This record gives sequence, structure tokens and C-alpha cells, in this order.
Amino acid sequence: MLLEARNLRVTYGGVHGEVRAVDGIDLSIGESEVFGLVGESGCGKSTVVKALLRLLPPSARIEADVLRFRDHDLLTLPPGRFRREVLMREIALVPQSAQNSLNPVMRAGAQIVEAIRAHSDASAAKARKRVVELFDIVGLQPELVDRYPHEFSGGMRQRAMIAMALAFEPALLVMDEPTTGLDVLVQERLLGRIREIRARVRSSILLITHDIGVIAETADRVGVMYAGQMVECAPTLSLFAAPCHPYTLGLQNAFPSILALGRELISIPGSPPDLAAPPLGCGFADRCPFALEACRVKRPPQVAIGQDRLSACIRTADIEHIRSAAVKKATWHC
Amino acid sequence: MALLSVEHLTKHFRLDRSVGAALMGRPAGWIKPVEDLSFEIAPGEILGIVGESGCGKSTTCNLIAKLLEPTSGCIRFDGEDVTNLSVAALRRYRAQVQMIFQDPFDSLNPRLRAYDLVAESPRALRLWDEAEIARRVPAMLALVGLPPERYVQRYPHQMSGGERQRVGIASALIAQPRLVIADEPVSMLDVSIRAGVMDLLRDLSVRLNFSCLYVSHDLSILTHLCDRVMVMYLGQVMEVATAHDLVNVPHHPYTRALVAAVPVPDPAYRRQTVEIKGELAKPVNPPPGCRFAPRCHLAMPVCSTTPPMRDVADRHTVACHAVAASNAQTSRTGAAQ
Repeated sequence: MLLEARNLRVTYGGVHGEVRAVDGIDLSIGESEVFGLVGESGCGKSTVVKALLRLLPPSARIEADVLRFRDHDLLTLPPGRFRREVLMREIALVPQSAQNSLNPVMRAGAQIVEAIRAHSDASAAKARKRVVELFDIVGLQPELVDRYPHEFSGGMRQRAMIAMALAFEPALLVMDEPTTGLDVLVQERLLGRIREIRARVRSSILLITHDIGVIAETADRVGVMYAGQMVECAPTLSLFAAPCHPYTLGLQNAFPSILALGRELISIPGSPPDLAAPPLGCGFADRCPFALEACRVKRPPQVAIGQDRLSACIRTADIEHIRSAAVKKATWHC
Repeated sequence: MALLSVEHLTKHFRLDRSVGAALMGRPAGWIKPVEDLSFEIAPGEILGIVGESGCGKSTTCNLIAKLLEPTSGCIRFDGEDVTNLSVAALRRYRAQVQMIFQDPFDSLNPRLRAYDLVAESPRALRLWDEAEIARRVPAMLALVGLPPERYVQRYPHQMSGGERQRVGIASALIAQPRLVIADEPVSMLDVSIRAGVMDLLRDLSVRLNFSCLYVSHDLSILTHLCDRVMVMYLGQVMEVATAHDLVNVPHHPYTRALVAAVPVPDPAYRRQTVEIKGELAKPVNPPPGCRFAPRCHLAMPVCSTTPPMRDVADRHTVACHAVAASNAQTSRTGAAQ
């Protein structure tokens, strides 16, 4: 196992009390696996990324039973050693809005050279040679190394950021919303490029997105987050073929597909709970048409369904019935 | 008869040049976001516009809403030429054509309560007195799914994104418009509530009998919501078709690439990829002719002239020389047999 997190919790302190943005999630990513983390705004997916990369503000507190990356214990590893030994070299980030992450007054190549030299003792000439190689991997012409970011299109800037993240062929590449804000044709090229990179560099990828279509095409396994919790985790094919959590079923109903033109889209009523005052039981219970009294009393545990599948729902035994009821609009909106 | 008909609408912006460039006598550059655009919207119809950044979809909205003056061309609303309007006529027009904006977080005045946000447009348009407004605003809020007893007093920051967008819809619909221009109204919303806002718009368009021009970069949303979809590329129309035809029998090479690039929420499905050359350009000093030609694998010498819109089926028109040539050939061989 490349990355293993058990019962990961992230709490933001504040004058109005604490907000638990990530509330006890389990996450494991294997070697050369693409793990997709999907969820809506405020569900805690970006906080998970920040916790893994130690990018959280000082007001945040990370706790976990286990938080291990290869043989590093990320909970106890001192910050200096994390930066020198793990960051960039073993885990690298392609940040959200990567298109705006390049310094506009520095040439693109120079920025990547700087990053390489900050994390290794490579000479400037060697680092530059590496940048040209990296540009080739992500499909950018070598002459672009000496251009400024404003001379790049949005998709090219995104690829330059991916090139930087790949500098040391990290074991884990974390991509936070890599295609958000890109035009659909640019997105399609980038997804193709990510698949090519996977074939060339044996990195695992943690892909964060709210776009179920992108997840379906790219990820091997998917975790669905809601209100700071992992509600369902399964291999992509089985998750899409037969979701086991009412929230996943609701997302599937709400997401349009050009393959199913006549299908009526069904929204999920209500809105996510306030994490400053989280509900006692299941975070989704208030919006869930299948919720029982017991759902509101105690947080549902993760239940294993077959091999490699987990769902945090106490009604998993009734899933056949729930699935057939969930496709009807009247079930959600009465 | 069409409710809105746009004929040869064109908008060019002049690029500023430096003093030096002007003194040297260098010609000014032009941005041409909308070029010779013609289309119609029938009463009650929802027409979608899809395209990538810089394709002119927002400029088109602003031209129709009369927030921009066209360089040339003509806009007819209900048979009447509204390209040049007096101040009084413009106010009447504005009551009939309303906009819903993309960002429910930025488009609402944070210092106004929901009541005043919705009341703002009838006040500005001087439609009714306060008593009438006080009667209509709560009814409108109820219609968009916000129970007035709980929502009239709320400020935008006390509402979720979906609720804010419903306020945006209510303030667009209160003036009883006959055409609603919606510029990416759900793109900032979470997937689970998007469908609710889209349903609402569709239901209300039938109940209140308005037409809708719905702009988005997301083809899968448009095909679920719209009667017809118009595909734009760098200011020109490439293809107009029903949602079904556009997805199942796209003709234009650009539409084909666009449809093929839409991610599908089905991991077992393998999309066919349609390769197109180069990167998306900006509509700055575009060459004459079809603006997609530099990236098109079917481009021919004739593509340096602008292809006319040709009917290929009922409610399906395409602007492409290559499609026209291959259709002509098919019908010739068909006739020969």
C-alpha cells in the first residue's frame, strides 16, 4: 500500500468554535493506481489533499489512527524532513486552478528549474535538461521552456504545472480539480495526456474532482465524500454499475449524460449540513429519502460489501429495494 | 412567427494600440467576437448556445439584452426592429427581456434582502406601485420554491448557492419577460442541486410562457434542457440542431469533436476521439472565411470564404463547405442509382 490513512480527521479552529472538515475517513491508494475522490463543494476533499501535503493553516489540527506513506509516518515526520524527503520527490501536487499558479514574471522553464533545484542538488544545466524532458512527457514543445506563462494557453499552463509535479517522478501525484475551468476539448486532451503519462511514469494519482464524468473515465477506484465523511468507496466499474449509498444514487440521478438524452434529471433536495454543528448521525440523513430514525442517532459505520467495497449506510441490506426506488423522482421529491 | 430573430448580427471591438504604433501608422487590431450571426427563437422555445471560451456566447447575450450596441446587423423582437431604441422604448424592451447571471455569489447585492432583490427590477422599470410589488414579490418567491415567509427577509449570505440562484431567477421573472437570457446559470452550483434549478427554469418557461436563450459550455446540460442547440466557434455559428440530432448525428467537424469530447459518467463506455489540430485561438484579427478551418481536418481552399448555413434535415442547419460537398455527392450518387 502506497498511502494509508485510517480515521483521518482535520479540524479547523476558529473564534466561532471548531469545524471538523474531515471527519474520520479511511483512504488507501495502491501502487500505480488512480484513485478518484469525488464530492461537492465543502465536502472536505480539498482538505484531505492539504492534510496529505501539509498545506493546512496553523489553525488546523490533523489527527488519525494511521497516516502512512510508504515507510514514512506522516503524523510524526518533522516538517523539515517532510519537505526535503517527501514533498515533490515522493508526493507532488498539481494545485487547483493550476492555470494561475505560474509566476507571470518568470519564464515557465525557469520556474520548474527553480523547483527542481530547491529539492535536489542538480546543477542548473542538468535541471534545465530535465525540464525539456518533462515538457516532452506532457506534450509541450521544447522551445516553450523559455516562454512566459502569458504566452501559454490555459491547457498549456496546466500541462506545465503537471510537468513540474512530475519532476522527480513522484510515487503519488495529487491532482486537485485538474480540468475545472478548462474548455471541453482542452479537457479531453488533458485527460488523454494523463492516461499517456500513466503509461510512461508509474506514479499513482489521487484525482480530486466534482465531475463524475472525469472520474468515470480516469479513476480505477472511487471514494465519494459527503460532509467530511467517506460515504462510499469502490472500484469505478462497480460503483457506477451499482451504487450502494443513497447519496451516490442521488448524484447519479442528478448528473446529465449525453448517452441518456430523455432521462429526467433528479436533484437531491436540501443542502449539506453545517459542519460547525454537525448532525449526530449520518450527515446525509436530512436529505435522504431512505433515512430511518436510527440514521439520525448514531453515525453509520463503514460496511464492507463484497470485495474492496465499503458503504457507510445502515440500510445496505435493503440496497436492491433502495436502488429501484431511487430512480423515481417521487422518492426524492414528494 | 419567431419571438426573437437575429439577422447578420456582428460585433467588433477595436483593440487599443500604443501611441507609438498609431504614430507609425500601424493599423489598429480588431477583436471580432460575433460575426454575421443569424438565428431565431420561437415562442416558448429554449435555445441553447454552446461553445468554448471566446466563441462569442456571452457577447451574443449582451447584444440581445441591449447591454452592447451591435456593429451591424439587426435584432427583431416580436416582429419589431429593436436594434436602435429610444430610452422609453428600451425600458419597455428590458421588461420583456431579462437576464439570469452565472454567479449567484457575485450577482446579488449583498446589502439587499431577498424581497428588495426581487423588487428591484419592477421598481427600476417603473412597472407597478409598491402595493402591487408587495403583492407580487412573495408570490414570485413561492413560485421559484422559496417559501416567502422564511425568505423575504434574508440577505444573500444567509442563503445557499441554489437558493441564491432561485432569487436570481425570481428577479428575472418578476417583470413577466417573454424572453429570458440565462448565461451559465448552473455552472457554479453543485451537481446535486443543478437539476433542481434546471427543472425549475423548464417548468416555469411552460407555465409563464417565456422563451429562453440558455448559454453554457457544458453540452450535456444543454442537451437535457434545450429544444434546439446552436454551436458557436470564435463568433460564428457552426451548426444548429435539436438536442437529439446534435448528439446523435452531428454534421460539422467541430460539433463532432465537441460531442466526442464530453465525458460520460459511465466507466464502461469508450468514447471515440475526434482529433482536431492546434489550440483554441482568440477572435483577434481572424482571417476571412470559416474560423474553424485552421483546425479542421476537412479544410479545403474554399473554406477561406464563409460557408452559408444550409439545411441538412428538419430543424438542422450546418455551415460547412465540406459537409455540403459530401451531401451533394451522396445525393448525386443516390440519384444515379
